[in-house]
Amino acid sequence: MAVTNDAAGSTSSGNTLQRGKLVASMDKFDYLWALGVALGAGLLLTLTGVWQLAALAGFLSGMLVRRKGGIAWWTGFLGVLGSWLIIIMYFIATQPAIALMNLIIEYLIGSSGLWIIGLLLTVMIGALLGGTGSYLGYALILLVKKRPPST
Amino acid sequence: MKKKGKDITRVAIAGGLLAAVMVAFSVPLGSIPAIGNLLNPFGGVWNIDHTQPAKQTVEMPGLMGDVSVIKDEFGIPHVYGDYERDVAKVFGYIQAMDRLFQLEMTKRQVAGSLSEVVGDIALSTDKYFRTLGLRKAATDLTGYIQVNDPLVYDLLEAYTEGVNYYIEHAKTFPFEFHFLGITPSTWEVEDVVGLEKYMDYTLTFETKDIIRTLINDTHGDQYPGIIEELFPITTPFQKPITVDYGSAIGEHPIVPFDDDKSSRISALQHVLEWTDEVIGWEGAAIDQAQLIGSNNWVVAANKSATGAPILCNDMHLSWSLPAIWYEAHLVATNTGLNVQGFSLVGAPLIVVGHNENVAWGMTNAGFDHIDWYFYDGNETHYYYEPDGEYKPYQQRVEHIKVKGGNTVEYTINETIHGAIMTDTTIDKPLAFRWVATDINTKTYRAVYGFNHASNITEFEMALQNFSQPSQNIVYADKFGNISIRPTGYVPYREGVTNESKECSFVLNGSAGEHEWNGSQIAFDDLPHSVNPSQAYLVSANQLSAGQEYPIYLQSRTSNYRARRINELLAPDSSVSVEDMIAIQLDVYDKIAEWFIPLVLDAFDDDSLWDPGERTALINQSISQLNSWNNSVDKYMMFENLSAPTIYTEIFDNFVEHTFGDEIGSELAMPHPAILENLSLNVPASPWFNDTGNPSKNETRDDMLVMSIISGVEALSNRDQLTGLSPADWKWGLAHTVQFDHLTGISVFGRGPYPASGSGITPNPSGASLFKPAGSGASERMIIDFAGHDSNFSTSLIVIPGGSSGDAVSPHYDDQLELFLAGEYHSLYYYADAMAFPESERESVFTFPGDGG
Repeated sequence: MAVTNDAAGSTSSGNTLQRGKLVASMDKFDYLWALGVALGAGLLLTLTGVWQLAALAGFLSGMLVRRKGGIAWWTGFLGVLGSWLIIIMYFIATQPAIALMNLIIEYLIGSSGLWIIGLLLTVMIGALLGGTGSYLGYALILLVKKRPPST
Repeated sequence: MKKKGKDITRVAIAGGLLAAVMVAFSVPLGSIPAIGNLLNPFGGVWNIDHTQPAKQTVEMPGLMGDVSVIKDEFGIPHVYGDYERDVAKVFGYIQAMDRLFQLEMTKRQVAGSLSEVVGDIALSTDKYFRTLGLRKAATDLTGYIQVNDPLVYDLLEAYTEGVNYYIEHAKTFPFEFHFLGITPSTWEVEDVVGLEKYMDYTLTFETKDIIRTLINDTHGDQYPGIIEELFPITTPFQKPITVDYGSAIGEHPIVPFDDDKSSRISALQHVLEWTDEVIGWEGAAIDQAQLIGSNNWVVAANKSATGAPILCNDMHLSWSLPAIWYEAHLVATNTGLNVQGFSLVGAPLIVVGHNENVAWGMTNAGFDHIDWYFYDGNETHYYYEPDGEYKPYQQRVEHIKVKGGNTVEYTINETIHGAIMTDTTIDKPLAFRWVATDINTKTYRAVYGFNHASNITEFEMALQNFSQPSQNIVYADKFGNISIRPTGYVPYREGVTNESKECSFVLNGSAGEHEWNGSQIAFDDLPHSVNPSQAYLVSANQLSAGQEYPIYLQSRTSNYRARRINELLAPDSSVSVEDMIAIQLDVYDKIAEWFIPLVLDAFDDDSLWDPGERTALINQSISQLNSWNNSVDKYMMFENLSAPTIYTEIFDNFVEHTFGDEIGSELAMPHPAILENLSLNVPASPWFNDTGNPSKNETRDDMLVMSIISGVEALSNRDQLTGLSPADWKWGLAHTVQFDHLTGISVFGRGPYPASGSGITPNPSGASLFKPAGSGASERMIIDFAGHDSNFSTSLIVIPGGSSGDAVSPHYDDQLELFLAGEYHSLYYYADAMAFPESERESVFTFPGDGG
């Protein structure tokens, strides 16, 4: 039993230790965690077909950022940008998506062969949604987080 | 608290920013759709399935047997099945896969529901089509077909099942749906039937009676002979379609009504303006304003170089991308179906084409399917003399959904004849009665019969059902028969004769004038020619029958193409497929033939010119015409010649100088054949007199001189010709052809391309100078029965487009390149899927049967 207790105690303290390390790691590398969440959630949520959900991906990532608001903005911005870029690259590789985008951009701005503008415009939409969503998540966490009593 | 306040402010700013970003990308900017929806990486235009795998199995339930679809190198489907119902169902699936947006737009135009997807810009068009009542007529006709023709109904229903299965299971939809922010709507049998009504509208709904009445009302007092002389139904120099009814004759005097003209002018103008607005709207699926006719002809075996009949057809309609026609080959074992040709997008039958035994083609017959009526009455009632009473308008209420707005309630007033096209408060409100919305047409039954006919007897039986739109249907078979039949439902009108054509004006509806008596001209009484001794037959929208034919049929007749094709075929005793190609591509201008010699004579006549009037520029221009007149390319409208440009501008000025002073140019100008007759036979006609110059009685030659001067000056002032001498005023600079996308978005269209031909050449492309032509041959088909036992290997076909509606598919415009080069493709006519060579297959779809 003692072994068990010890073992349990050892495991419990080990978990606590690991959690502590995790928290410390999250504190230290919060922007990396946030970036990963923005990228992953960005991929998953965009696959629903509702582009506005990119903001939710950013929001989730922003909630993880413990540093300045600027960091939150950039993690959401870059994470969602990356996720949208991955999706588009897949379609470029498997479909004549560039040919169609060339035509659409030619219709929108009058010049031909500029599909890259369509690509940039697209990822910027995702990035802006991710960035602003992330900043909102960050701001909300700050708002609801329990603060030490003022002295 | 200060910190808390700062946090709240931060959240508010972040929330506001996010909302602003979302709104900015969610709102359409004019014609540009919401950019967020459009560029959505997964739900937008990046993720559109453009690919068609080389082999694919589709598990579509409800098929009695297996069906396979082989697409050839042009992406044209060849559908093979044991049961015809299965073939129709799979054909619906395949057509939806290739042309889904076209299906959606055609259906919405018929239903008057374009506003639902494009907003209030289409509201007037929707009201127009709902007033016509196409959808209502389609619904009524669907019920009739369901009860009286269950076989055809079953095929139409199967087709819709295939379309809907595709819509339900498509991974993505074409980019046009993203542009409009819509998804495809479910198809019903009414939508298929509605397609026939739409073609009825395109080919037979006309306002010619209104125009003639308006010209008579506004100019008849001053020029009593204006209608008979300038606007006859039968233009001069006709070569009738059918050959056994004598030669063509001139127009008989017409006696228009003499009641109060002034009170109905605003009603007439209202209908014309509304019609112009609708047909000129670029969102319309078909731009009816540019329709110019069609050609078909056939030669018998004893006049054919191949020793068998050769049948040709090119139907002239507005060009679009994707093309109006969808080529297909349908084979069903249970009914012996093995038909190939052109289908309309939205129906499971081959409209024009061939099977193993027979071939057929169509041109518009121009039968009078519509009458217009004006009434005495008030806002709620109209007077109807035969009943001796004021009758209340019957009201039909329609609800039109408008994108970004409220649903509009629209009330249509109807009389005993049909729908009122004006406000009922206007003096003499105007209504129409039209075969398309007045009777239960049997056109699908007729076309079903064409698809299955194995000889001329069966084909003629099928023809008896052909009601709308009236067509000149040319026929040939492998047994050596040829025939032509102007066919369609022509109502008997009380007291109307072919001599006086009383119903070619707007009628007095209150008086019950020339009422339809409920019957039609019997099929056997329609003109026709079967195996004529001349061994060939031609129709190009000209007069159906000559002077010995007694019955009133046509409200309009074309002219020059028929004359030219007849001239080419008549002397040729051994017509080859190459000759047929040459005729379909022929750009000889019959107006130039009579006009250029007159111009050159007028130029050479010193008595007509003041000193110094023949400037260097005029001399150079006439020199071009002179060279043309003496060359082997005489009157050929080749794009690399300058003479066609100079001739066309001078001729346009000649028309304007001759008639513009009397009738203006807003309503209509007389047919060029009228001017031909006056120029050649009545050179001192008062119509040539310039009414603005009372000091002189001008003649034809005075008009020619005026036209040379003003025409050359007009060309020299054209921006497109700046800096060029007359020798460089190439026709290809002035005359181009253009193929617009259905949305009108230019980058998805093709052209303009410099082009040979004119509006009246057998290879036509109608347009004004320096304005791209948007209409012409919508297909070209040459069926040579010498090759009927070798899969029609010597026959040829082409459309100005391709099989796919996907702008980035190679089959979007692969045939357009052939078309523009005057080339064709062969038919790939294999009765059995197993016989279809591997080398000619692009992709294969398998649809396993489940016993139905």
